[in-house]
Amino acid sequence: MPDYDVIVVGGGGVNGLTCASYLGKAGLKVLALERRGQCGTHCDTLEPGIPGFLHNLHATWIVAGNSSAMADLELEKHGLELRTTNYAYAKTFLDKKNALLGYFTDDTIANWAKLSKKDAETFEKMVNAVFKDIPSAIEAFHEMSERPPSYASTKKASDALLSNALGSVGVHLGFSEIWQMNGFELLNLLFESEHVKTMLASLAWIAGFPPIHRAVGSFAGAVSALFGGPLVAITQVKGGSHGLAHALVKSCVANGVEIRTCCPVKKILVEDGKAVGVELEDYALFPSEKITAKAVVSNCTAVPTFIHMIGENHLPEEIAERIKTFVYDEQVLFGAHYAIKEPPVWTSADFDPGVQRAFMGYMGGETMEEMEGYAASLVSGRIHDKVIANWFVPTLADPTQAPDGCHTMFVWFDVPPCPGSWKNRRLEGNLEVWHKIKYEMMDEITEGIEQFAPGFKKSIIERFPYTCADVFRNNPSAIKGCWDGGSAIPDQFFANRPVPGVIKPLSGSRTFIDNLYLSNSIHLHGNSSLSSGYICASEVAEDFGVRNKDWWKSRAGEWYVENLYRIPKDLGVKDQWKG
Amino acid sequence: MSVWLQEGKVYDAIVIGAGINGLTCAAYLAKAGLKVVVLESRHEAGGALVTEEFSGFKFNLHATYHMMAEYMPLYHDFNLKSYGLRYVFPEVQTAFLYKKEKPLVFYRDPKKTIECFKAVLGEGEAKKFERMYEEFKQMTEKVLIPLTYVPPVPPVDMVQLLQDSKDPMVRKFNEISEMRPIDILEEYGLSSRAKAAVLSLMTLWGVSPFEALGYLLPLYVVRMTDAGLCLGGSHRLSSALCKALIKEGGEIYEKAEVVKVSMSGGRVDGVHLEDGTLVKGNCIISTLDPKQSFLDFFEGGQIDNVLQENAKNWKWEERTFFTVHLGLKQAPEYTSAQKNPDVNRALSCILGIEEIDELLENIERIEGGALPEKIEARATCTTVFDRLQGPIGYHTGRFETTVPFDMDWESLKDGFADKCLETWRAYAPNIVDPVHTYAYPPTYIEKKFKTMVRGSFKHGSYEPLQMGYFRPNDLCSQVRTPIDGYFVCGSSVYPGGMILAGPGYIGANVVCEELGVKKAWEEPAIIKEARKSGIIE
Repeated sequence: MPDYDVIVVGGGGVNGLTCASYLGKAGLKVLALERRGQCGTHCDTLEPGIPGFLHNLHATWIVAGNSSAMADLELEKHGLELRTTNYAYAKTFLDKKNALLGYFTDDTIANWAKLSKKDAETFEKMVNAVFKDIPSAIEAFHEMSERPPSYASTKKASDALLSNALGSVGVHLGFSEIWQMNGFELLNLLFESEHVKTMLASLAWIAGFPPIHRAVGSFAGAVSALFGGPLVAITQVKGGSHGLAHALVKSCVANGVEIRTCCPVKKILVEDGKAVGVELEDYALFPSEKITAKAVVSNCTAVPTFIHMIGENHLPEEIAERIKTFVYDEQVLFGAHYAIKEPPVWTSADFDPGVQRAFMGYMGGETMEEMEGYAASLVSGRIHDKVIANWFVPTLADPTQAPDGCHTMFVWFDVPPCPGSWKNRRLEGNLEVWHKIKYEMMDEITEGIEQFAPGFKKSIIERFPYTCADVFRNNPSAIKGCWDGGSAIPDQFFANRPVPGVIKPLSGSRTFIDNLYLSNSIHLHGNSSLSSGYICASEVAEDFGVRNKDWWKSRAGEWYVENLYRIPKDLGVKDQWKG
Repeated sequence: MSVWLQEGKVYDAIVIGAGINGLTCAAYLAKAGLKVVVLESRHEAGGALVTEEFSGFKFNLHATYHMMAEYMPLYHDFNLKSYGLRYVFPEVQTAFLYKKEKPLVFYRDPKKTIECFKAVLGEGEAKKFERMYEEFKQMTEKVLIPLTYVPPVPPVDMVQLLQDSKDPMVRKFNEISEMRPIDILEEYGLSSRAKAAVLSLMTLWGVSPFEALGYLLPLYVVRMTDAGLCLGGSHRLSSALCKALIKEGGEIYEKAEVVKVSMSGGRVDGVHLEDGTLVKGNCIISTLDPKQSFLDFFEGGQIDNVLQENAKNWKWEERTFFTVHLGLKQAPEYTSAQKNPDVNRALSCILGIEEIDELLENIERIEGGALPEKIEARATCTTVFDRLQGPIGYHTGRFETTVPFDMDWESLKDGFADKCLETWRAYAPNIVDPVHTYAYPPTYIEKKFKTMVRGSFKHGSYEPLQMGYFRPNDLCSQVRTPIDGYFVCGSSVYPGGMILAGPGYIGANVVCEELGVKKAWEEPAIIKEARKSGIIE
C-alpha cells in the first residue's frame, strides 16, 4: 500500500495548499511537501527592515475572494480577512490626469466621463450587459476560471460574457475574431481616450498578460475592461498576503492534511509511465526519504517538475525539447520597497481625488505607443529607459501593515531577468547584474515616483530593493525570478500550458504521465485566484471518485458577490481624501 | 475582526500571545479537550521563534539554537517530529577564539572539551574544568531541568528540600545557588582565560555575572554546550506547535491585538481586541509581560494595588542585543582553524575578548549605558549544519553582541554594523561582500515585540527579586493570579525566558488543575525521578 493517496510537491504555495485542503476534506490521505520553511511561497509578508512595516514581497493584490475556496474551505473561519479601497486601480499621468477603476461602477463612469464621454458610455453599456443576469455571469465566470481551460469552454464563457458586452456597444465580433487580436488592437477598437486605454492595457499587463500578444492580450484587455473594477475581487489580506497562506494552512491541518516544510523533493518517482511517489533531497528535513502515493501533484513549474524532478528519460523526446525551451523570462519584476511617513500625493489628485483612494495603480506610459515601446524593450532584453511601473500602497486598504499613521509602498518595474543593456550601458546579461545595479535602479525608481508625486522622497523612512535574483533564491521553482509560473505567451497559454502535449485532452491538470497532475499556473496563470489548485483538486477527486461532496458546491465569484459589501474599505485612507 | 470570532462563541480558555509559551499552554489545553483560542498581535505566530526568509536566507532574528530542545515535554507529548520539527546537535558547540593562541573549544562530548583544555591551558586547568563540568551536569539533570517544568515553591521550602537531600550534589547545588556566578568560577579555581570562556556561555545571554543567580551557571554551561539547532530555522518549532494546536481542535488568530480584559461580577469573561471585537472566554491566560498583563489590560480600580505596584516596578534587562544578519557567498573560515580545524565546524564562535577582566569590564561598561570598547560577539553560520537555512550555494551568517539600549540606534546602526563585520573579519577574513546585510539594533526588538521593552528579550531582567518564586511576583509565579479566572504563564513568569517552554507547560498543568480537567499527558520521566528523590514534593 502506498503511504499516501496524494502527495503535493511544492505544496506550500497557495495553489498547492488549496488543492491539498480540498482533497483532505474530501477524505483522501494527503501529504504536502514544501521546500521553504514557510508556506505561502509567493504570498510572503516579511519585516525585512524596521519592524512594524510589513512588506509583501510577491503577491499583493489578492483575488482569492473570487475563489470557491472562500466558502468551500471556510477560509474566513481560518482567519482570512479581506480589505480593500474604494478604487481598485488607478493610473496617474504626467499631464496630471488619472484614469480610475472604481470598486463600484458609478465611480468609474464618473471618472471616465471626465476623460471621454463616449468611453464612459461604452463602459456603462458593457457592464450593464454583463451584469443584467448575475447568476449567469457567475456561472460563466466559474466556467472560465475554475474549469479546465479549453478553447471550447472559453468560447462558451466568452460568448456569454464578452460578445454580449461588445454587442451592446455595436462591436460585433465573434470569439475567434477577438482571439486573433492583440490587446492593444482590441482596446484601440473599443475606446478613444489614451488615458483609459493605457490604464486598461497596464492592468492586463500587470495581471501577467502582456497586451502585445494575440489571444492572451486581447482576452486580458477585454477582461480588465469588464471586470477590473466591478467583479474581480482586488483586495488585500489583513496583516499582509501571507495571511492567505495562514488560512489555507489552517484549513489543511483541520482537514487532516499533513504539511511538511523544509522538504525539498529531489525526484518524482515514475514507474512504468506512472507517478508512484517522491524522493526527498539529502538535505531535507527527512533526508533522502522515499514516500509513495497513488497520485502525485506537482505545484512546481514546468522545468523543475519535468526536467529536474522527473527526468528526461521519462519524457517523450518531443515534450522534453518543448519543456527545455519553456519561456520564463519575458518579464520579471524589479521591486523597490519603501517605508513612508505619508502616502504619496499624486499630481493628478486635483483631477480626481479618487486616485488617493486606490491601493494599487500605475504610472508612466502616457500613450498606447509608449506602452508598446515599453513592451518592445522587454522583448529585446533591455531595461526600459523611462520608469513605467506598477505601484502599491497596501496600507491604504490595511493600515495594520505599518505602524500607526505610517505606510508602506512599493513599485514593480517590469524588466528582463538577464538584461543586456540599460540606458547606454551594456550589462552582462545574467542574474548577477542585479547585485551590481539594484541600488542605482532603486534611485531611478524613487526619482520616477517623485515626478508623479512630488514630496514623496521626503516621506521615505527606509527603502530596499528586491530583485528577480532574490525571487529565484527564495523559490527555485520561479526560474530566474519568474512570478507567474512561466510567461503567458500564446504558445504557453490555456490548453497549451505549460507546453502542448503535457496536459491530457479535456483536462486542466492531468498529465500524460498517469497519476501525475499539475496545480501550478494551469489556468490563466497561478496567481492568488487559487484556480489552478481548485481545478487540480477537482480532477484528482474525480479520479479517486470523491468529487461528489455536498460541501463542495460554491461557484467562482459567488462568495464575493454575496459578501463584497461587507469587505472593509479605505481603512487607511485619510479623511481629507474620502470627500 | 473575523466574522467567525463575532459569532458569539464562548471559549473555555483564551490565551493571549502566540509565543512559545502561549502556544505550548494552548496546545496542552486543547489536548485536554478544552475549547481554546490563541490571540496574537503580530502577523505571525511564534514570538521569539522568528525566522524571516528573505531572498532564500533564513534569518533567525531571536532564538537560534535551543538549550532544552528534546527535554521540552511538548516535543514528545505532541510528537512534534511528525509536524516537521527536528534538531541537530553539532559535535563542536562553542569555540572561544583568541587572536594568537589556540582556540578553546567546547564539544558536545565533555571528554573532547577536556582534551582541548589540556592542549590549550594545560593538565591542571583541564582537571578543574572536568570536576566543575561533571558537577554542573549532575546539578542540571537532577535539579534544574525537572524544576523547569513544575511550579516554584517558596524559597524557604526550596532550600529545605535541597538541604534535606541525601544526594551531596543536590546539597552542593543549594550552596552555590545564591552565589554570584563569578565567585563560583573562582571557587573551582579556573584561570583567567578559562573563566572568560566559561562565563561567556552565560553572559552573552544577558545574564549578569554579578547577580546572586549562581544556580543559572550550571544550566547555561551544560545546556549551551549541548544546544540543538532547529532544522530549517527556529520558526519550525512554533510552526509545528501551531499545527499541533489546530490538530487538537484549537484556534489561532494573528493580527488580533488584545487591548483590555473584560470583567463581570469580579471575574474575567473575555477580551476586547484593538478593532473593537469582544471575544468571550471563561478563563484568560496572558503570556505577556507584567506591564501589559496587569496595567494595560485592566482599569486601575479593577485589580489589587500590589499587583499594579509590582508591574510598575518591573525591571527590564540592562543589556540587550545588536545583531547583524548576513547573506554570504562563503561560510566563515577562521584563522584559528589553522590551530584547530574544528573551529570552522563550531555551532558558535565567541570572539572579541580574551581575558576575564576584559569580559567583566565590558559588561560593566554596557550596563552603565556605554557602547563596548571591544565588541564581544557570538558568530554563527547555520548553513554549515543545515543547508535548509540558506539558498543552495550560499550561507547565512549571524553576528550577535550585547549593547545598551539607550543609544541613538537609528543613526548608529549602520556604522556599528560595519564595526561588527570588521571584528568578525579580524577572525574570519573571508567575511566580505555580503549579498545581503540586515542590521538589527535593540530598538527593533522593542518595535517587533511589545513584550520586549527596552530590548529585554527575556521579558524582564534576571535578578534575584524577579526570579524563581518571585517571577513576576509571589502572588502570580504559580500561574494563578488574585484575579478570578486570570492566569499568567509567559517568560516573565517562573522559570523565565529562553526557549524552555517551562512557563507554558506549567501554565497548562495549573489551569487544568484549577478547572478540574483531566490531563491528557503524563509527567516526563525526569520529573518523576526528581519526585522520587524528594526534590519535588
